Amino acid sequence: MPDFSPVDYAIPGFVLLVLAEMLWARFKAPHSYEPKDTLVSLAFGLGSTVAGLLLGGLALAVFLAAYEVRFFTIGWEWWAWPLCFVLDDLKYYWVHRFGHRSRWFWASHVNHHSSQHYNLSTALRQTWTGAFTLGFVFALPLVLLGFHPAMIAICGGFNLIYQFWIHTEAIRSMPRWFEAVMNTPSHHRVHHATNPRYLDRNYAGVFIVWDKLFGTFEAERPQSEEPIRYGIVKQLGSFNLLWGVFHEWIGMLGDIWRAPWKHKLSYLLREPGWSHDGSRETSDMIRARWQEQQQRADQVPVENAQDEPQKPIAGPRRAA
Amino acid sequence: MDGQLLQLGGSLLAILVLAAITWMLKLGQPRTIDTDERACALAREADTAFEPTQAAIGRDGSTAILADSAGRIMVLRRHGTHFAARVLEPGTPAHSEGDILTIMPRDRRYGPVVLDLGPDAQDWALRIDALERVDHA
Repeated sequence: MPDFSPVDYAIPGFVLLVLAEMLWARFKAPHSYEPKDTLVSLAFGLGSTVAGLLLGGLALAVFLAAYEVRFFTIGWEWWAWPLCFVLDDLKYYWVHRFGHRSRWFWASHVNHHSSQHYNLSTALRQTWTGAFTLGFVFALPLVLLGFHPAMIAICGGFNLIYQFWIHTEAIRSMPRWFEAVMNTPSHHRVHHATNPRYLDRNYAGVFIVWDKLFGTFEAERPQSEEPIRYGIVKQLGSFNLLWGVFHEWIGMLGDIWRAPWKHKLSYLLREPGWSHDGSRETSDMIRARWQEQQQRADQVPVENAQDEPQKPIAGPRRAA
Repeated sequence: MDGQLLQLGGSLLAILVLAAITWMLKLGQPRTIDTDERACALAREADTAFEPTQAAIGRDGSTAILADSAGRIMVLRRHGTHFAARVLEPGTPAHSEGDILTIMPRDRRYGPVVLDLGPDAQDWALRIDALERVDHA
C-alpha cells in the first residue's frame, strides 16, 4: 500500500503562509491575530496530528477490511483520481454537515470553530477527538465502490490542503467563475460566522456547488453591511487548550447523565443547542428569532419610529 | 520512532516561534469598551434575545455589565482582542467591595469578572442577588 501523505509535504508551506499573513496583518488588520489564540490554534494542530497517529489505525483497519468485500475494483487508473477526489469532497460535505447538526459530531468539530479569529492559523485548529465520532464511516461507500483506501486518504489530504488557504480575511473575493464553483475565503468566512444569518451554512470543502445543490449556501454580505463575528454561539472565553478540546464532550456527557431516560439519546444525536425542556436554543431557533426581529424592524413606519420614545442606550436592531 | 519524535519537537518549536512572532509584531492588542452603545452592541451580538436597557462599563473598559428588558443580566469580559459574554444565572455569586464588583459566573472556565463600577457597584450586586430571589420565590 502506498505510504504518502501530501499534508506532511505541505506543512512548510503552511508555516510560510501563516508568516506572510501575519505580515499582512501587521499593516492591514492587526486585530486579526492574537498571540494566545495563535498558540492555541497551532497546539490544536499538533495535538490533532498526534491523535491521528494514535487513533487513525482504527479507521484504516475498518477500510482495509471493507476493501476486501468491495463491489468493484477501480484500481489506480488515472481517471480514478479526479473521480475519487470529487466523491471524497461530496463525502466531506456530508460528514461536515453532520459535524454541525449532530451534537455527537459537533463535540469534536467545535474545536475548529472555537477561535474568535479567522486566519490561517485557525485552519490548523483541528480536532483531537474525531475518531470518537466514527465519522470515517462516511467514507465506507467509497471503499465499497472499489476505491483503494490509500487513494481516498491521499485525496482527503489534498482536500485538507485546499481548505487551508480559505481561512483568511486577507482575500476578499476571487473571480466570479471561481466563486461560483469553488469554496473560497468569502464562502468559508460565512461558515465560521456566528451571525444568525450565517449559522450552519456553507459546509463545502473544495466545491461550493454541494451547498448550492443541497440548499445550505449563503453568500457573504459586504463587510460594511454585515460585519462577520467568528467563533461559536457561546464563546469559550478561555485560552485553556484542554478545555477547548474537551468542553463540548464534557457538556454533552453531563447533559446525557442528567437527562430523563427518554431524552438521553437526543442529547447525543440531535443538533447542538437542543434541550428537552426548551431551555436552550439551536441555530435554527436563533435564526428564526433574528428573522422575526428583522421583519418587525422593517415593518416599523419611519414616522412611527421617529415618535417612538428613545431608550437611553438601546440602538437599532437592524444590523446582525 | 526517533524520526517522529524529532518531527514532534520541530513542530513544537515552530509553534512557539510563530506565537512569538505574533507577539513581536504587536498583533492582537487588547481592545476596550468605550461607550454604553458599544457594550449594548456587543451584548446583542452575543445573544440576539438580549435587548439591553442599561449598561455599565468597568473603569478600564475590559468589562461591562448590562440588564435587559426581561430582567436578565449579562456580563462581558475581554478575551484576547474580542469579548465573551455570559448571561448570569440566578444564584450567581456576586459581591461588591467599595467600587469593585466581583462576579463568579456558573461557567467556571469563563472565570471571575471584576468590574470597577464606582458607586454603582453595590447596586449591581443587589440586582444580581435579586436574580436569585426571583428564582427561589
